[in-house]
Amino acid sequence: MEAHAAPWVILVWSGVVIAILGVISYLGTRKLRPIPGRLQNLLEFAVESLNNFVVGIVGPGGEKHTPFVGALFLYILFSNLIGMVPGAMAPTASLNTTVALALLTFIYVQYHGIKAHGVIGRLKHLAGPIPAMAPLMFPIELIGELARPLSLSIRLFGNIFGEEQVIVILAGLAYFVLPFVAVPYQFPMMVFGLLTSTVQALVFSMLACVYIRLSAGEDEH
Amino acid sequence: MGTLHSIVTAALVAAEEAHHAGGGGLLEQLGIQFPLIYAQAAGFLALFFFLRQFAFRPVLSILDTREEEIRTRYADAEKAHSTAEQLRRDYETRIAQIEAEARDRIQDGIREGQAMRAELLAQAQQERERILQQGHREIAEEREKMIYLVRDQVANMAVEAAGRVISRSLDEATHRALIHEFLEDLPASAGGEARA
Repeated sequence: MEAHAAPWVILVWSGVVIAILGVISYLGTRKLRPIPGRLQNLLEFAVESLNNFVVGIVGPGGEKHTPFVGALFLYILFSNLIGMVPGAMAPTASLNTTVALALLTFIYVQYHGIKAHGVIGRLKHLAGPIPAMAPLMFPIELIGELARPLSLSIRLFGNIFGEEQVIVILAGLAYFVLPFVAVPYQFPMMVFGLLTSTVQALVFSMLACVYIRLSAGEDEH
Repeated sequence: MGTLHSIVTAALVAAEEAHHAGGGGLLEQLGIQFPLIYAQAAGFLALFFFLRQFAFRPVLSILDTREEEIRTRYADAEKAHSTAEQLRRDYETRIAQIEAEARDRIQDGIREGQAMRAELLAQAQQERERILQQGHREIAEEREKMIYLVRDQVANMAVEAAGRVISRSLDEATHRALIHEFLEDLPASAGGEARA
């Protein structure tokens, strides 16, 4: 895996992504005006869309989770997209990044679950609605909870890593058919990558919202 | 709990077997390095707090403020609209009242004019009657005067003629008395014919 080859390069590109997002948000909100400029308008559109997205899944009161889920979405989206830049490397193509994000999501979900229902309430929630079934339900629910970060991280890593590998292989075939003319075979895959980058960021964020709702929401699953 | 224990044991055994197989640990095989995970987590947390502070909170706040402002302005506009609508209805009612009053006044004026016209006509009629009566009276008086004058002149002429005929057989006073007596005995129509 790429992490063996250049493990710390990922940190550099993560830093680049963080810097891009930080600078955009700082410049966009430095002078907030009632009649927004272009950058403020773009930020307002992004924040409002993310807020509607989160509230739509988590339900009323979900606004407080918008910063976390929004940051997840933007970070994953930009991390995925930066992999399209020649010479750059998508941080999400490393399992270390996706595991970190999944673990943070797991901790966030558990924190808000315990905050909403208390430790006992959370354990009761995991034990299921029928007390007699608790010895069976509790381990299943616990494994389910632990499997969530695993599935989140592996899914994102697999998609982005696989996509990058395909692009690299197709780029390597540039002189395969025509010896002296470079053909960008990877171009269709890169266009497709724009779609999968967005979809994967959306899936990760949506699942985070679903987990938050299942853990901190009032309704039983 | 027994199930959980058996699952965890199986996982540990599998990891141990993989380690002894010479391929390193499962995490190592997957390329997972805990320092990198910590660094990535720290980086994301820093981004999360930064975005929360500089993007999400201020933007959501200004969106809420704008929404509230729009709602307030919309409510104000709605209120102003309803006030304007009420004023319009009031003005329409007042205009209708004014029109009705004007119509009533016109009708009153027409009625008053008609009454004055009738009164003036009646007065004119009376005046006409009065003037007519007066005219008739004056005509009758003139007629009487003329009759007397004619009788007088006829009497004078008769006396003079008779005097000439009988050569003064009677005195003038006796002739005059006789003629007057004669004329008095004549009917009114005879007088009219004589006048004519």
